Amino acid sequence: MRKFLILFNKEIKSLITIQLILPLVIMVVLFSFIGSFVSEQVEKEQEPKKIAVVDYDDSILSNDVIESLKSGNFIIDKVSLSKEEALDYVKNNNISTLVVIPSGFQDNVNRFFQNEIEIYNIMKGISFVDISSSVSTQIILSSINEIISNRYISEEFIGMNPNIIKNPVKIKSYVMVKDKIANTTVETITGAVQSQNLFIPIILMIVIIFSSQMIVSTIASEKENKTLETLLTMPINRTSILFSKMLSSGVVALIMSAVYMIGFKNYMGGITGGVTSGTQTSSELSKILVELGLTFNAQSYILLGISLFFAILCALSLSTILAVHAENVQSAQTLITPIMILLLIPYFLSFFADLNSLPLIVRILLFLIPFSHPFIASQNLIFGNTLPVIYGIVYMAIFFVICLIIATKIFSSDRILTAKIKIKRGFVKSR
Amino acid sequence: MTVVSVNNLSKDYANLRAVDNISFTIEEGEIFGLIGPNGAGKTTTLRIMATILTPTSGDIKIFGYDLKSEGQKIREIVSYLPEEAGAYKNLTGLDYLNFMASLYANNKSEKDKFVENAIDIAKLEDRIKDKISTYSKGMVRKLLLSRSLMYKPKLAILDEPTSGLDVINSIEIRKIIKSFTQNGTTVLLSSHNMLEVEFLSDRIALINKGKILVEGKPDDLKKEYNARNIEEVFIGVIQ
Repeated sequence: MRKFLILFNKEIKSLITIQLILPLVIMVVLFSFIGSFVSEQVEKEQEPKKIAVVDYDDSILSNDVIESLKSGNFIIDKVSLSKEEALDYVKNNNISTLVVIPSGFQDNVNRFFQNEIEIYNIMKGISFVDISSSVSTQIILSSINEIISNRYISEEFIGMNPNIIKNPVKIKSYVMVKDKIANTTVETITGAVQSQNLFIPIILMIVIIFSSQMIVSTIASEKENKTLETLLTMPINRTSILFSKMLSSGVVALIMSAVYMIGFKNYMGGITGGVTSGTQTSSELSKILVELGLTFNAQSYILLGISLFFAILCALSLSTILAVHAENVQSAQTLITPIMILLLIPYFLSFFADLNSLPLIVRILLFLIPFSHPFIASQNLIFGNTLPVIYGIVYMAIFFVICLIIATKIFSSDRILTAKIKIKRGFVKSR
Repeated sequence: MTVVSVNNLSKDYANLRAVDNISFTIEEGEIFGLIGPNGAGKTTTLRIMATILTPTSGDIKIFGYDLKSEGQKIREIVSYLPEEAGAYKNLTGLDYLNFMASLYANNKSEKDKFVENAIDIAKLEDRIKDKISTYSKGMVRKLLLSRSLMYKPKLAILDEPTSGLDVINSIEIRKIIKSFTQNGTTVLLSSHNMLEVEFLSDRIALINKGKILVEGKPDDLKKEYNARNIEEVFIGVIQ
């Protein structure tokens, strides 16, 4: 045990280098900065926007339209200038939108003629910030059409609420999950569940990739730096050498993933913070998800954790088998490509498809990939299906034990020194 | 006293027989040299004796331990210096020695003693505290040699100990090896530099194409083949 800890300590020291820490710190700072910047922009976007209006009609209706825009989320700067002067005015005063109400606007409405209102948006770029700072033409149009159509309806149906005439039917939608019912829509629930669990596949992906890269680097660098041969002649059990490498890689991968996730969470928090779905606020949505039982409880987190743990073990053992065949770190990184592919399949499927509703043959192939199980687990656990998750864990445990036996056998044989796969111009040759 | 006995050792790699039915013995405290051209089977023999390769056939006994069944015991008394060995470049020379010593030692004082021995052998002065990545090839080789001798192994297996080094560094390393046998360590070394092995070794074996051609004391062999040096003996043997 003492020698194992010495080896583990040495492995950790060789993995946690300044070359590893510096990009991590930069990434966390950068993501946090971008997140807070985007968050500021989102808040700004929700503030009332200033628009300039030139009213050439100056009628009761045009003034009503301007008032209705005021009661929307707009600050109106009414100017009495020619169109060209008004455009210069908005440019010089950093106003993003100019609305031009033509003369004869009220007359046209009274005669049921279609009017034309000009809206000028000053475009400064195509970035998220630029787009969010410009006012949506559609919002202004809806606002104006609303007041005019309400006016038409009020004149025809005196004493009636125009909203009831325009929307005679109202839907009260319910969603049922198992035996629990809540007043919401499927789209709202799907969106909320997906946004709440957005991080799970990303965490899985990052942890498994890092684990694989760490273990192949540590084994291949021993080969490349010609230190493995010496290490193998030391009075230590070869299984200790193997396990110290696997454990240190797993630990460093978990630390790196945690740091990445902090940065990523700050980044995503800035983008998604304060966003609501339809008419329900995020706190209302969270309440509904709890009502429907669509949240992770302690047991779900434990099962997901175990599932992820075994996926990491599978990645470590499989990567070890591949890394033994590498001549150097560069070729080792190439050798783990099959693991990346096996990981990307469930990763993308989990984003674009319901894994449980795939055709049987695709599902079987998917279940054979050990890394699919934590992805499937997160979906199953939300809906309280624990049994498939447990089966997945058992399958991964068996897969890990088989890979570990193979890895240990290779580590205890000549193959640790003699096994090489040459990668040249796309051809893989084993010797 | 015979401390190493190799009997009918063979090693196959796929279709290649790298070592072909060789036998030799080594007496306690002597330097035994395995000489031969590149690809003769020297490194394979040494790797088998260092327990990192398994023999295809044959028996090896090292200080009474059977290589096939008591590999772990052998690793505790044997040290091996590979021909192309490297050291962990992210460590300082001292950290490297500390790490290696801690794998041999049973307690801290023993470990400190091993490190002290290694520092005496390597003679890298203050540079021992520098990162290995800043060392010259000769410094790395001295560090590695000190690592392999620091715990005074019963058998030191040195594969091409002066490989790739300049004359000054080679002479220093030879001196270290020669002086170290006075502590009772038995040495098995290989080299393709026949003059070097002639200078260092008490007894030698000439190996070519996996077979031992001849074995004996350098002076006896020179007499037998009427040669001025071992290179001429080798030419005489293969002709």
